[in-house]
Amino acid sequence: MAEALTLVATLFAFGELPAAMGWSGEVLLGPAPYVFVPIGPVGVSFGGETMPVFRIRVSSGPTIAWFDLPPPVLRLGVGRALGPILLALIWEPARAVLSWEIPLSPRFSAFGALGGEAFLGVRYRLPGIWLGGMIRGGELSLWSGFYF
Amino acid sequence: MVRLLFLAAFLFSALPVWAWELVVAFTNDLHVAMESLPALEPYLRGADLILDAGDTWEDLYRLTDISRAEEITRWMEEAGYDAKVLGNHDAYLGPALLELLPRVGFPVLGTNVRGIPGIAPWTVVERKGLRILILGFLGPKRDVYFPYPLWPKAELLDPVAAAWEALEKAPEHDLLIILAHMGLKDAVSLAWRVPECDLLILGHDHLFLEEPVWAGRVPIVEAGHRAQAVGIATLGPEGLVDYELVRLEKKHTRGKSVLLPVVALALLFLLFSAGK
Repeated sequence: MAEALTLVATLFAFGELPAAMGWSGEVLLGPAPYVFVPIGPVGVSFGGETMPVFRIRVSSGPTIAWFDLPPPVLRLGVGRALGPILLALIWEPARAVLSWEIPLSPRFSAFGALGGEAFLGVRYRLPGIWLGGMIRGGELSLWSGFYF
Repeated sequence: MVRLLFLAAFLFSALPVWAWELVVAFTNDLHVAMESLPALEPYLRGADLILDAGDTWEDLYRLTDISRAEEITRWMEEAGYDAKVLGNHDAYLGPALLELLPRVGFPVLGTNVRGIPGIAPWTVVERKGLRILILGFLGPKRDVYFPYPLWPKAELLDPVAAAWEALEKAPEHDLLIILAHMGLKDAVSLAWRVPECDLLILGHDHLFLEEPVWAGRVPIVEAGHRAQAVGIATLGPEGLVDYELVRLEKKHTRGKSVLLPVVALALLFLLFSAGK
């Protein structure tokens, strides 16, 4: 269970750029489900124990910044839409991660992270819901979710 | 004498219907090229209708942000723009677009866009006694025009189906103008299937069309990019009467790009952090 919680915390922190940058509410189902509810510039997540409680967002057009609180999950993200590609630098005191998501077709996109955290995933989108797989540390995990 | 007076009155009242001319000035793909905009103003000033075919609010090459989008919107309002269609680079603003849209003083069209509040399916403008219906379409490729990671909830419909649906619901009109932000091939396909269109103003491919591209009786026109040209199309009862692409001095300098330095800095930061 601890591994599942680490996994979902990783996905939330580095792999969910559509929710972080599109500032959408999200329900995510998988090894450790969570719900993310944005209320104005503050987002609240409910789910795993290792999840950050609050996400605070600042936006200036396609450049987006967010902070995850409270400590010890202090995390700062700065992202930008480069055309249809999302790119974000996410910093924690101990590591920095470059996260990205690239649409490959109207239904498929690939996402991943480099640096202090490394994983690779694909998302397949159906009307209203997405299905995804993520490989991290040689382990495959399957997810699905929807935005609201 | 009375007969002559009646005849004169009849001719006088009927003349505008026979002999009207409507001058449409248009731009496309301005990409917040603020430094080039003043050169457009003399050409826009004399027009009956001023339209824009999208990609107004963002420039990927220079990594512009919402403040520049606000700035060009104020300029467009002062210049008297009547409508614009959303472009893919406008969508790249992400959720900030939702904050901008309510503050735009002219209709922003997206006839085939669903799920984005503040986008109008059409607008009707009256000029010289004519009711002009204006529709706006983005191309059919959702991953390009409304990228899923930025707009997980938006929907992009097939332009032709959306055009037919809009024409069924739209109010009565004398002229139909389409603003389309898509590739030329998609625009030709759209024009063939909406033959009642009197003028199709195109953006996206940055084409300097010196002559219209004809799809049946529909003229397709496009005026380059970054305010390096303005298009002047004159419509009359028989269709397109005249078309001119006015080339302007290029003021957009390549030296202002910040994309490469930002990406380089990001990679350096990443390498430095990973090596710690």
